[in-house]
Amino acid sequence: MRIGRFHKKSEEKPTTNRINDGTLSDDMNENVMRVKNELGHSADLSVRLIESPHHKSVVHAAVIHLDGMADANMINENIVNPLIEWFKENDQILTEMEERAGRILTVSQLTVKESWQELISSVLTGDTVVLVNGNTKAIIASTKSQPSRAITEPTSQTVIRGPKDSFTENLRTNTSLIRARIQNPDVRLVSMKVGSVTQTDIAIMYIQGIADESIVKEVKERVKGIDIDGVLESNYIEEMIRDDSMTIFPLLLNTERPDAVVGNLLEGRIAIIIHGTPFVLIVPAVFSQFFQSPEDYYQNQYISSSLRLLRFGAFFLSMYASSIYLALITHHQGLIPTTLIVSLMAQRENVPFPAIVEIFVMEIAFEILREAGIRMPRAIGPAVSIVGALILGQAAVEAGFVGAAVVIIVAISAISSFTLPNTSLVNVTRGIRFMLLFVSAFIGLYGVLLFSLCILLHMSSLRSFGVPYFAPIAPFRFKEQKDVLFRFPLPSLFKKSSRK
Amino acid sequence: MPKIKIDGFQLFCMMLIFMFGSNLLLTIGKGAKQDVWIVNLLSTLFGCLLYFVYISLFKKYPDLPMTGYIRKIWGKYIGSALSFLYIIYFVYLASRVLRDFEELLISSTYRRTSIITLGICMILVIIYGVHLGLEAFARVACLCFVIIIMALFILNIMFVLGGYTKLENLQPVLGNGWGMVWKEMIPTGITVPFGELITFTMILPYLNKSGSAVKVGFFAIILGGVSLTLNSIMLLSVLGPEAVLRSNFPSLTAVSYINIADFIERLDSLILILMIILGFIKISIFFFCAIIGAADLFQMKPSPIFIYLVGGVIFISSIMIAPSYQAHINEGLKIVPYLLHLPLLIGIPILLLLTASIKQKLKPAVS
Repeated sequence: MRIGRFHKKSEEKPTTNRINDGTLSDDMNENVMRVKNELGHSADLSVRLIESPHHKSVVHAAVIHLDGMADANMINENIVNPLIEWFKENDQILTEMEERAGRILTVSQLTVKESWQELISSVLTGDTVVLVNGNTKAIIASTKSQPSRAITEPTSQTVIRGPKDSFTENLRTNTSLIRARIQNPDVRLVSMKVGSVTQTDIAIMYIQGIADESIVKEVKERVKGIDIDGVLESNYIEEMIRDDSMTIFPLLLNTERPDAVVGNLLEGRIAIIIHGTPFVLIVPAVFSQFFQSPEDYYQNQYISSSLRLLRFGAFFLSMYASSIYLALITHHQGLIPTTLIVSLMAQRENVPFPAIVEIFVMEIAFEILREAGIRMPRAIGPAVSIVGALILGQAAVEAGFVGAAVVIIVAISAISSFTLPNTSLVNVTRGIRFMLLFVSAFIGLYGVLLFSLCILLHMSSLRSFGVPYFAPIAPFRFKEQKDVLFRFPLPSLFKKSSRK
Repeated sequence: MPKIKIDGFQLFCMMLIFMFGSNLLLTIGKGAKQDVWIVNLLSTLFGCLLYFVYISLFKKYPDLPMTGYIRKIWGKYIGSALSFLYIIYFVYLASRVLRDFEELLISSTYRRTSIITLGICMILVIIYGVHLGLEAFARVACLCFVIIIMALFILNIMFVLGGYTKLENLQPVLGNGWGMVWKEMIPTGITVPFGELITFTMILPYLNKSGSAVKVGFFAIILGGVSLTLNSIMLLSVLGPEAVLRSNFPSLTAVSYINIADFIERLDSLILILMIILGFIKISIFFFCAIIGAADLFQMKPSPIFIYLVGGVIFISSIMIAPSYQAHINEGLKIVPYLLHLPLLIGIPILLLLTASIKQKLKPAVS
């Protein structure tokens, strides 16, 4: 929640506007003071001043880093210690920084910067800055060590057979998980900073020669063009770069599985990795991809193909089950076989509400249960499932609030939506289910059909980074059908994606 | 000129669905009794000839829709007037087809629903489709094509396997002589649906490979004609000529006969779904033609407001067009073919082709 743009509220001018001006002064003390001022005498800013044993009270060098963002051991052993040793042995002022620093400081990455802005930003990312008296250059040693979580099993996209690692919140860990899987010099990693306040690191990863150059360029331009204060999760990027901002369908794929990312990179797609979230975006995404689970490729093709068909079926069932039931029971009783309609009507005999209210109440009840299941503390989880299953299901039927058939229909449409491998699409089924419900209550199957035509039209008009979203189904491309409804054997799939 | 492109397969799907459109619903030429299928088969031949006229015009002006080259050939004034007439004609046809489908829904399941509600729902979806553009629409048409073909295939299999077909219904072949066949064929059989393919002269400029227009077009016409013939044979053999003649919607009646093991029955809804899809595609194509024509004639971009206006006109005229279904059908069979179809679908294109070829012949002599 935003309380107000701090630019206007606070007296102090924000640092981001000032640091553009100027280079470093040759008085080191002045520089150190300036760093402290710019960061507002922050409590975690650590400045280590190094004096020479030969000239008392003359400070020769300053080592500056942010506590917690940099590796303290590394700074002690590889920066502070060698500097003190050097000053002990040499009774002189440290000049000709560039050459000497390389010999003194034993860290893997050293750069020399002159601009003030670069100095501040490297302090903020966790690097260590070494300032030397009488010099207008700053030595920047790479000592980033940010707190991160261990690699764990994926929580939202699980498989039975297949890799069990998942991304973490740390960008470097994530890129290394991908790199470890494709040891190929053609893998390209472009890094950017997005968010005018947070300056979040974002990496764009693709394989040169497989990925489409024009799409790579388009992705880079769109990411560069993002104007936003902060990026906390991949959805911030997703909503800023997708083609159509009004659609309910996910136009970018997200995954927390490194193997899924690698699979997509091999198919010529581009991964956008955002620091601070384990969800990696993949572009361009087409609709059929949301039905592909990585496990499809880890087991027998017949099983995978039939499971994929099952998922397509479940997707339709979860959207249409309740609305078709409603249409049949309210508008087209003639279409239901006689024995069935008799038993259905007998169940509804004691229900005081019209069918639409009945179904709508149950659907909403399920959505409440679901939302409660996500938000509540783990410890009281079993309590909610008991309440949900027994009270809302059985007792509602016994009390005559709803018919038993409605409970079955709602349960089927809810359960089948969870067969989908990607949660973005699950949310689509929820939205469309409710819209269909209203249309169906209004004008029956005719409305359901017309609304489906609308959805088809909408999906056919969508594009994800220039690629038609509904391809290769509409526009139909016969040669690309190997991995849509069915998963063809891997040898024939690999022929498709072999290097040009 | 146009940026959006459709490919050959999409054109094929659109043409085939377009031809199925009203024909599957109304069974054109049912006055010829047991010889309906001969009407269909012969009309296909004439349809090919007509399409040859359209395609030769298209070849001369591959970048222009019909309203564009009509002005090139016959000059600004006559051409513009005729273009305007064609636009109105497309709007009129769209509203006629819309009325057909409204009546179908009313007579099948929505007996107590107002025709206005049914029409508004349909036209809103069509407006949305036209608003999204030809590209998205063509893609959806392909999907619909697959659904329609599969459903028709299953239905016909059921007719045959269920033992509902009696081939003696087709006999005696030409029992009433050639007279009725010609009478049914000459205005209606040829013009609907084959003459109506003139709409594709408006869409052909959007084809990505203009060379494929000939092959795809003829293939679609022949395949469409043959499947319509098969369909009429199927209907005749299931219902018999008298029932086909009396029924408003023969295919609906025929499907309601199906009852396999008391389990697969009441398939009317399936055919109803097919009909709605067919109607949606057919009305949209007329609508697109009107919009493309207007955009070309008035040199403007089709704005959403314009699309809504034309949609509104189509909807309102679909209701106002006739007081009852019988009057609507009579108008469609007795007046429209002679007054509108014959001159606009056959007369003017042939004259256009003649003038264009004469002009082309004269040109080298002049210059």
